Amino acid sequence: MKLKERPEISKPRISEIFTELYEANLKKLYRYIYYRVRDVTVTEDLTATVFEKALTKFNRYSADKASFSTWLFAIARNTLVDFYRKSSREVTTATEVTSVANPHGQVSHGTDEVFKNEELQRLFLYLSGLSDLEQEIISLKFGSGLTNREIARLHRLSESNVGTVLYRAIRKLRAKFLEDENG
Amino acid sequence: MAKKKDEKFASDFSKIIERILAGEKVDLTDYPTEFQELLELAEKLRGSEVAPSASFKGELKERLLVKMGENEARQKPGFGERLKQLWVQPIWQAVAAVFLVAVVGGTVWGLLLKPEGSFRDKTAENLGIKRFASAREFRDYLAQASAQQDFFGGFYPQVETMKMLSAPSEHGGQRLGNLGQGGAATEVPGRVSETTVQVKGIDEPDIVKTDGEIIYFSPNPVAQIQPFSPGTEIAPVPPESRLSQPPDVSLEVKAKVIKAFPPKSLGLEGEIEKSGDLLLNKNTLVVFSGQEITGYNVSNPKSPEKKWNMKLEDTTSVVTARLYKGKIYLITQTLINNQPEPSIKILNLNGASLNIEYKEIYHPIVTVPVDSTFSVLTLDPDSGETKSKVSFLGSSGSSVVYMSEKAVYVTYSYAENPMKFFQSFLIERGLGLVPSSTLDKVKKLSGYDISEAAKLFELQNIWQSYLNSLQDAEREGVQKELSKRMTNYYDQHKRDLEKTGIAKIGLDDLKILASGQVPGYPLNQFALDEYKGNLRIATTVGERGPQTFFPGFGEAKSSNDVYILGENLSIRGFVKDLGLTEKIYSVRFLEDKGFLVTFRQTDPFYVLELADPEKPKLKGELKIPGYSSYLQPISEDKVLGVGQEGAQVKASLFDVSNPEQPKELDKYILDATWSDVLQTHHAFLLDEKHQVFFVPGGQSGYIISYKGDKLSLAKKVEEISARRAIFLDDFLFIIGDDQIMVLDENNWEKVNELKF
Repeated sequence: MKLKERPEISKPRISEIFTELYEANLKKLYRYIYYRVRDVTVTEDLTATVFEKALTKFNRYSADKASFSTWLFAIARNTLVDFYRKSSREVTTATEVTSVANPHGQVSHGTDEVFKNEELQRLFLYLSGLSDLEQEIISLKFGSGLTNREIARLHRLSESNVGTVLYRAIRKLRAKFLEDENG
Repeated sequence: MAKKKDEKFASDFSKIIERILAGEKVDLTDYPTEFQELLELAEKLRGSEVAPSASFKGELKERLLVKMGENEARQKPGFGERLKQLWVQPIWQAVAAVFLVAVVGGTVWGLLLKPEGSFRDKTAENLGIKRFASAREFRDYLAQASAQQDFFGGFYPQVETMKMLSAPSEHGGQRLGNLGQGGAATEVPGRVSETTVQVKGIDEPDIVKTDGEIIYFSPNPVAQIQPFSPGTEIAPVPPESRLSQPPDVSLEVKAKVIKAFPPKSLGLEGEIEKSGDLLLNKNTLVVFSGQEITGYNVSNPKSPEKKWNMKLEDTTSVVTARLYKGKIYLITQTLINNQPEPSIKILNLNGASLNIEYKEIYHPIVTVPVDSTFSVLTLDPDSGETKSKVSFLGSSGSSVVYMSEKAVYVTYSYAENPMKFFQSFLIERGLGLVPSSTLDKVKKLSGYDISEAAKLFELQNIWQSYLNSLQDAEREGVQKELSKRMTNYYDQHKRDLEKTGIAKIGLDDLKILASGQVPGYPLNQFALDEYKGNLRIATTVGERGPQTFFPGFGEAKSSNDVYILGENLSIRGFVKDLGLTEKIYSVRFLEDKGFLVTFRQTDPFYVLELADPEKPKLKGELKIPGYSSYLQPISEDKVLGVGQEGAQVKASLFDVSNPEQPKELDKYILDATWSDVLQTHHAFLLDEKHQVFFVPGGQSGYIISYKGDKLSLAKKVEEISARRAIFLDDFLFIIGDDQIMVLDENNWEKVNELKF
């Protein structure tokens, strides 16, 4: 096979490619960030930031290194770190932002639909009581639907490690649930 | 018992979740109510309707498109190509969700195969290797081979960067440091431990080195590698621009220079501005800190003097290094794009850059996906100057380096053409399920004079439009049946799809002596071993499974193989299918024997008889709970294993005197959930004289005795974040991030300590 045989069809316009990638990754990314910060406004801001960073920095990034969504999640992780750092400087963390904004423990959200399920609302509240790693793994797992392998690689953990943390985190959540119900 | 159950549940839980996420209905009737409730909870978490609102989605898209237009106008012509490389892969995911394929630059899999070859016919063939004859050939090769990123959707390329796994040894009383400094007679220990390494005499970089009198120690250089260190809300992660590179650990942490012998004079002598993994050669200490390598003259430990500094290019990372007979063997990996310059910059020494010309680069004769140049360089530790070098193309999936006294072996992984695989699968197994008109279209694809990428695109179109033509229920049925057939087909062909290429480089002049390939992937350096001219390599095959290539299709059925390769790296013999559905957790070869631990739920410990390279045999196996991730032979018929059982760190003592019936003589469970030994063999220390070994665990250091074939705790040192231990004479130095403790090995009393 020679060079001239390279396909003509694989030269779509950049904006077309971008649109498809955006569509493919937006929801995954949005959900991951939402599960981490549990606030629609913050989630929207951070999601936009991540995509913007991806756009401006892509030429510093060699495509050979990792797939786009990998890269996106790495940027998202850094963006969250920055966000937490900033908010801790302002003497409040993301979860505190939420609770300050909602003194009754209601999680703020743009559409009521998200929390028509009261149980889910409580689950999200309990999430903030878990460790950072537990929250992170739950968000990547159930927010974005990543496999344990993908999560393991993103965080340089072993796959079974991820599985164990996940299992324990869910057990903790359930314990809190029962605790609340009985107390 | 509860622990074991817990472990099984955690593993089952993850598996079931994966299946639920893949859209499967799972029967849970055999599980206890609590377990079912946990899964319900997980389902709820997954099922939240959290999603970007339509208005947000639209607005952000507009904003990004505007921005994109601006960028586009600013960029050089090459930009479009690069951008495409970056963005193309997820299109496939997005459009079809059937093929998860790393497609780069639209030239994927170009010459992966000989034009008419079936994707099977290369299996037994040895991958030839040669150098590029012209710059044009170089460019063409890359254009065709196409940079293949970590095909399996990895987040960070899995190059084990400077933390390759190791066997302890000691050298008797060799004092390499500054003897007799200041006129006073210096006490010299009678025995000095060395870093636990794989091959005796070939040193590996680690955070602790000693010459018998001075200890050099880089505290906690991995704190930044693990994004979550205990006690911090959010730990730093590597900046996104340097995804595959080790974080720059030199920023704040300084390596410590500690006077250690005699123990009564224990004290901090000085510091070195850099920190990281270390190698010590006579009076030169070499520090590997992220993108920099620095040589220091330490003849006066109080004031180490910088002699040379090497900076790696952003695209280059250190895979690992070795020190052997006064030479440093540095193995680097440099990412290349598919329109490279005629020479590739990999690093610079004291400001002068070191390039590799295309003519020096070896490549497989058959084009396989590549994205990196691997280089092996020999350095003079005193000056940092390169004595000789060799480079070859490979892919950055996962690279393992093993060095014997004769050769360096560098492996890289690659996958055979998944487009061809899926096509063959549909043609061979689609009958009766996929209409013949669709199959005809699929068959015709082979004849098209277009690239593999274009074929893949077409195949995906054909497949998608067929699925779209079905009713929901019917589609589900077809997908389920195909999934079943895929599991089976994949199992039969897994050895053709997942491969490891091996380059063998002679130590004397760094010539490529041979190249070869085996199915599957090696776990780490211990999976390779040279003995009597043959190379033994243990690999896990099919573990990634069809799901990684074709999400939603089929299940993985992994197995493990051991291959024996001759001097020219062609396969002479093999043992296949060890630990079906399991994966390798540790390997150790000892002369004519091989020990292999695979794991999923229990820990089969296998003993292999390898005396006849043409006919290696599985002799015996032992099934016990947990697994060992590091194996240390302590005599001809005893092997120590360190790993985990349940959530706790475990040490096992195996008796392999009867290879047909290996026995676990004893085990010791540590009161710790994590040990550095699980990650690096360097954290393990064997002291044969006192018949003990050291294992750090949690906030403690464990000294475990194996006297009389019993494992018992000789001493537990608490409240020290122990990293390593060394012995000087009969004193054991436990080195932690915050302090050093010295114990008298005769009675395990503490004789001194130094807090940092």
